[in-house]
Amino acid sequence: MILLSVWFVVLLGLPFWWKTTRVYRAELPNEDIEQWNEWMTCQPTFPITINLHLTSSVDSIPASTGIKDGIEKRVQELNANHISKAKFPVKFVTDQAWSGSKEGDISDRPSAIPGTYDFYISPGSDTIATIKTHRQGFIQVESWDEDHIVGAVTEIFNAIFGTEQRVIQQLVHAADTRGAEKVKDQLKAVKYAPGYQLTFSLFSGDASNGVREWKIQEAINAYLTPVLKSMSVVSTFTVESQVQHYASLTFTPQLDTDQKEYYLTPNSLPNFINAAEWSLASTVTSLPSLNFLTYVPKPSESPLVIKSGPSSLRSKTNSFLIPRWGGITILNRDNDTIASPQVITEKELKPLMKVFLTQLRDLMGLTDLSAVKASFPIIFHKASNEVPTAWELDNLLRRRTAENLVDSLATLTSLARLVADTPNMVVLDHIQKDVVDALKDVERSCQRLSEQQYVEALTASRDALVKAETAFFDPTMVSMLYFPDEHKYAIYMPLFVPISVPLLMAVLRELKKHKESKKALAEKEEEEGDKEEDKAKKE
Amino acid sequence: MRPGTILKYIAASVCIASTLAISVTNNQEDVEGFFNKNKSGSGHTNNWAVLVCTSRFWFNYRHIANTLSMYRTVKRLGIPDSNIIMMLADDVACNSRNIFPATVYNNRGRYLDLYGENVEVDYRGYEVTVENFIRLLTGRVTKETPRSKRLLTDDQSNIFVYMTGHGGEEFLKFQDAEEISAYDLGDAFQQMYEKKRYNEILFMIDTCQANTMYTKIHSPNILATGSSKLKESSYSHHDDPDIGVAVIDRFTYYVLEVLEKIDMQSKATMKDLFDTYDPALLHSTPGVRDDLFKRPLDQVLLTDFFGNVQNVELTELNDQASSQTEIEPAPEEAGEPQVMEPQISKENHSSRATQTSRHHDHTFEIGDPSRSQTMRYVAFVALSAILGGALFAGSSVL
Repeated sequence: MILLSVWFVVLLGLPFWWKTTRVYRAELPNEDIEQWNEWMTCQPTFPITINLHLTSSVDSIPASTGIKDGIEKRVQELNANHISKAKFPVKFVTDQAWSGSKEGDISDRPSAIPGTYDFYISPGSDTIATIKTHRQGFIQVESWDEDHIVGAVTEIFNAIFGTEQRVIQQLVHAADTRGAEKVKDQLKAVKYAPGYQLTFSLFSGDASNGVREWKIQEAINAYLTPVLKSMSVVSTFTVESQVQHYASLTFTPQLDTDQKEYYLTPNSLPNFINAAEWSLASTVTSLPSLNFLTYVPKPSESPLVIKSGPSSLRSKTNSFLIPRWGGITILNRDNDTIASPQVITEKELKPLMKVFLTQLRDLMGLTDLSAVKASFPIIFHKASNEVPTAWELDNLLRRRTAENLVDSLATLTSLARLVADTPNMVVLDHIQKDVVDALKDVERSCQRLSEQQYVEALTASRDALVKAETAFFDPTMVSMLYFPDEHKYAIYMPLFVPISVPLLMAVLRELKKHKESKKALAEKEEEEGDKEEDKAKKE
Repeated sequence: MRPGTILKYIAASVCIASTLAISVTNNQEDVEGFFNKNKSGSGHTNNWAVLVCTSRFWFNYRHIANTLSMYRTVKRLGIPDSNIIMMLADDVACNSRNIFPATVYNNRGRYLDLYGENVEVDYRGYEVTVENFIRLLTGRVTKETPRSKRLLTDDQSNIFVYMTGHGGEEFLKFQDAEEISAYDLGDAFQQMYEKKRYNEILFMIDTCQANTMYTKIHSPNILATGSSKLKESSYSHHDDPDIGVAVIDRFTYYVLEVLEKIDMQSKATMKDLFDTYDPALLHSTPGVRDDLFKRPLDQVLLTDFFGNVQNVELTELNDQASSQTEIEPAPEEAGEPQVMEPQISKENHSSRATQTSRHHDHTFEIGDPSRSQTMRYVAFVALSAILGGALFAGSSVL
C-alpha cells in the first residue's frame, strides 16, 4: 500500500512537471507569411491614372481612342520584361479635351490625388514638354498626328516613371529571391523610419574667428520648414541645433601658397569629423538622426577649401555628403568685409541651407527627375527652396511603401524562421498578435495600393513595419537560448536517479513476491497463502 | 614634414586629380562606379564597436586595460562614442587597491592613462551580463533603454566585436557568475544576420581557448580571430610592480602594437595584422576563421573595422551629377575559404624559456578536461545508482 501511494504521487506529479517545464510557444501564422512571400494573397500594384487632354483649338483632332490604345500598347511593351510580381497598371483617360493652348490656362486646376496626372497636349513648332511642380504636364507636339502624340507621351511616361518602376521591381524581386542584393540608391538614402531627427551643428575652429552665434532658427523657418511640411506625408521630423567652439580638426589642412588658401583633398574628407571630440550624437531621442554640420575654420587655417590639389578647381559648394549620415559644409568668412563677424546671419546661411536641402533630398531618397534624358527636351519646373514636387513626392510614396512592405515581410519571415530554428524560444501571445496584426496591415496596405490610395497605403505599410519590428525585437524573446541536453541531465539526475532506483527495485521485488506467492498458493493451497498475504501487506 | 610624407601627398594628389578628371568627362559612369565600388568593397557606411570585458575583481585589471586600450584605438581611428558600446564588468580605476586612483594603465611605463578624461562606459559593473550582451547584439532591449546602450546598426554597418575575460572550451565566463557559450554567440550573430543588422563583423576574442568561441558561428560575412586554440591558455604580457597585477594580455598587446602604427588613412589590411601573429611571442596559437567571410583578407583594410572611414560624395548644385571620392580598393573574387592556424615553431620553446615576465594563466575549466563528457555521465549514473542502492538497502534493513 505504501509503495502504491508513493507511485501514485509520482505519477500524479508527472503531468504537472511536464506542464510547468514546457516552453510556451504561441502558434505563428507561418503559412500566411509563406503565402505573402509569394505575393499570393495580394500582388503589389502601383496604378497610375493619366488624363490626356487634347486641345480643341485645332480643327482636326486625331481620334482619341486611337491615341489611347496606341499609348497603352506601347507602355505595356515597356513593362513586358517584368522581373517581379509588382504590377504597374496605367489607365489613360481621353474624355476631356481642353480649349486652351497655353500652359497658363489650366494651371489652377491641378490634380490632388497622388497617382493621377493631367497631360495637356497641343501642337507646336517642335516637340517639347514642361512638367509643372504639381501633377500637370504640358506637351507640345511638332506634328499633330497620332504617331507623334503616342510617341511623345510614351517617352515622357517612361522618363518620369521608368526608373521608379525599375527600382520597385528590383525591390520586390530581391524579396522574391531572398537575395540580399542592395538596390543602388538605397546606399545613400537612409532607411525608412516614421520619424527622423535633424541636427544642425555649428562647429567653430577656435574663438579667434569671432563667431558667437548663428541665426539658424530663422534660416530653418525660412528654408527648411516648407520642405519638411511637404514631406510630412512620408515621415515626421524633429529639428535641433547646437554650437560648439574650439572644434579642432584631427589633421592640418595643406597650404596652397599660390592661392593663399588651405585645402582638403577629397581623400582626407572621410577623416574630417573629429569623432573623438565633436559630440554629434543626440541622446534625446532614439529616432534615426541626420546631421548637418557647418564648420567655420580658425583664422590660421582659413580660407579652407575642398580641392584635389594646389592647381585644381575648388568645390563650388565647399561641402560633401556622407551616405546615411548627413552633410558637411565648410563656411569661410572674411571678417574684414562682413558686417557682423560675431553673428552668422540668415542671409549668409541661405546658400548653406540650399546645400543642406539638396543633401537632405538625397538622404531621404528623393529622386531628381530632371536628370532623365529623352529625345526631346523635357523641362521640369522646380519649386522654390528645393521643396519636392508632387511628382517626386508621389514617387517617394510609392517607393517607400514598396520598401516597407518588403521589409515587413522580410522581418516576419525571419521571425518565423528563427522561432522554428530555436525550439527553446518562448513565444508569447502578444507576439503572435503583433505578427497577425502586421500581416493585416500588409494586406490593408496592398489593397490601398491597388486602389491608388498611396498615402493610406504608406500609413498602413508603416504600421506593418512597426508591428513586425516590435514582434521581432520583443524583449521577452531573449532567454538563455542554448540549453543543451547535458545540462538537463545534470539537473534532473541528482533528484530522479536516487528516487527511481528504490522505487523500481521495490516494484520488482513486489512483483517477484507476488509471483512467488501465486506459486505458493498453487502448491500449498489455502492455509499457507493467507499467511503469505498478511506478511506482504505488513511490509 | 618629412620628405617621405610629402612624396606620399604628391602621389595622392596626382591620383585624385586623375580620378577627378575622369569624373568630369563621364559623370554617369562615375556615379555607377561609386556604388559598384561600394558593393564589391566593404559596402559599409558606418562603423560600430562592441567592446566587452567580462571579468570582475582587481586581479583582472588587465582585462579592463585590454578593453580600454581597444576603446582608445577605435576612437582614435574615428569611431565616435555614440557608435562604441563598451561593457566593463568592474571599475578598477576607482578600486581602493589602485595606488594611482582614477587611472588605468596598460603598460609598466604608465605612458598613457587609458581612463583619461573622456571615457564613455555604456554597461558597467553588474550590468555586464550574458543576457544584456545578447540583448544588445540582437536588439531586443527593453523600451526604456537609452540610445547609448543600443546597437543601432543597419545593413551597412561594419561591427568590431572584442571580448576579453576568462574562458574555456566553447564558453566565456561573465562576472564569475555565468557564462556565454559559443552556441549563444553563434545564435546571436545569426539573429543579427536575419534582421540585417550588419554588413560585416570582425570578432576578436582574447581569452583561454579563445578559438573555440568562434567555432559555432555560422552566419555569413563574419571574420573571427582568437588568441589561443583548444586546450591552450592565453597569457598576460607583463605586470606593473607598483600596481601589483598584470596590466595587459599578450594577444591584445601585440594586436595593439600593429594598430598603434596605423592612422585613418592607413591602407594596412587584415592580412597584415594576421601575419604579425607570432605564436612564439604570444605563447599561444592564435587562430583566424575566414570561411564565412567573402572578401580576401589582403583587401580588407584594418580601418574597415577599427576605423570609421566612409565614402563621401562631394555635393554639387545645379543638377550636375556629383563627383565623389572612393576610399576602399575594389577587391576581386573571394578566394578559397580557409582557416588559418599559424603553427608554433620549434624556436618558441627557447624563447619561452628566456621570457622573464610573469605569466598569468587564465585557464578556467570544470573538472578534468582529459576525461570525456560521456565518461562523466557514466560515472555520475553509477554514483547515483550506488547511492540509490544504499538508500534502498538502508530502508529495507529498517
